[in-house]
Amino acid sequence: MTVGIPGAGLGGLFFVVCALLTIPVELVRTVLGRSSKARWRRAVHHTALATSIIVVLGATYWCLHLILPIARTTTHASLSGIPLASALMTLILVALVLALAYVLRLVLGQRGRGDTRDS
Amino acid sequence: MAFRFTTETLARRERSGAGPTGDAAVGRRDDRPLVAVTVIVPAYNEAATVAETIRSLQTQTVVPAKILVVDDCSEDRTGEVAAAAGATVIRPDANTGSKAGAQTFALGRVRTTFTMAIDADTTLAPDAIERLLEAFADKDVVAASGFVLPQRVHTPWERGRYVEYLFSFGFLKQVQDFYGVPLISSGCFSMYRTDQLRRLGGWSGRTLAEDMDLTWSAYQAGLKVRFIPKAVCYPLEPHNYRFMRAQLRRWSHGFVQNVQLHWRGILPHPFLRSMVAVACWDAVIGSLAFLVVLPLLIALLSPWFALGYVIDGPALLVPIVFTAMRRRELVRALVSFPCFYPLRLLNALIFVRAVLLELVLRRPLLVYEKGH
Repeated sequence: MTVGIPGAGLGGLFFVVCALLTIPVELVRTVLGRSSKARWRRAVHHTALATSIIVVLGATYWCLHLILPIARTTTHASLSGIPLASALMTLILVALVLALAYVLRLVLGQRGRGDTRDS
Repeated sequence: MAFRFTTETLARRERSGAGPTGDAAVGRRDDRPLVAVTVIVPAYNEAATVAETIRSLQTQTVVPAKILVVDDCSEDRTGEVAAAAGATVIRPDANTGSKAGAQTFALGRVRTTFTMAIDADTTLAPDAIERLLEAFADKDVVAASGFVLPQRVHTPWERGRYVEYLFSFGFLKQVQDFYGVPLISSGCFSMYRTDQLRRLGGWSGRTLAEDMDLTWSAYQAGLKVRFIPKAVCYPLEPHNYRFMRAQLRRWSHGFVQNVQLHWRGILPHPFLRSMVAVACWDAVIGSLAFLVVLPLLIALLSPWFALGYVIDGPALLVPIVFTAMRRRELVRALVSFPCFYPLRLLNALIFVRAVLLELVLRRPLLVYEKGH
């Protein structure tokens, strides 16, 4: 099953970012002696797919920017038609959602420890 | 290695005259390795499909020790068909009410190291079980699942689902597995270490997504789950609106029920927590943007905002095209691609409804409605 709306939304961006991070993660694992050729192959594969997705997404916005007048009025701070502001805002939103989940964990962790002490 | 161990163990049993642990091995004459796997096939009114499922199990590159069909008090000839196809058929006194119930009913009869669950309308690639077993070479792995693709790709709903699976299993799930945390070990085709499965309580009926419940319980117990893309299965997917709606309702309510049940338990697991957090956002806020914000923008500002529904299409096509090309199904994928959009819209609609019913109105979906 796919939760929510596959493709669009924060979930899609989250997995693209995760795919882009596979090479740095594998670098760390290599240094720690926990990597393998198979894992490196997967990391390169995921990074290639994620990079292609970003390039295609950029090209789509660029085409829209050229073709549609409304795209020119709604994409702020664009660089060659690529809506950097929108992309940044979405990334910040992903970070906020993840931070919120982390804060929830910290708060509940504290409360859990407090409960244990009380009991 | 787990695979070699199980094969040798069973071969030893045969040589010593102790006999294999299951019916599938009786009278075997071929050279295929016998593996310590019991396959559980929960079935309710599956007479039309169960024989094909059993055949695909019997023609694997490795032979499962036992094929156990749970005829969950079917009203058709499911039990007879399964027995005629060569499976061991068991039948509870009364209908168990869910797939989880039927599977747990059979779990007590499993005597092998591994237990596999497969839907009665699902067939496997010939090497699927062998591939899946490879995951258990790591002793900490408790469950593994494979790549899911629709068996039939004819109707618009089946085509939409086919595209969704190419994207999800060709990209999302592989990234999840890289980080060691597949979101779900898919219920239609998964294998488990039997002792750990029992320790986790088997498949629970407390939510409508028993596979998600079991997977998240495994993570909380410190166990590993794997996704093996080379192990491919082919379930029958909903072919019309009625079945698709039933399946999506079950999945959506099941997800919300699992979040309600496990949210405290998954918070200490960073990647799982992050996946569930963004999934919740997408399921609620993303769906509302699809169903409310975009239509408002279209109505009030410009019809060009309708492009918001399809603007991610070219980006989605990247992993879809890549996976389809590897499978030599590029034309099928491209032809099917437009069907993905109505499915996505329906998914959004049903998810918002599920959240509303489960969390706001407190009217949980409790009845397991079959949608394939």
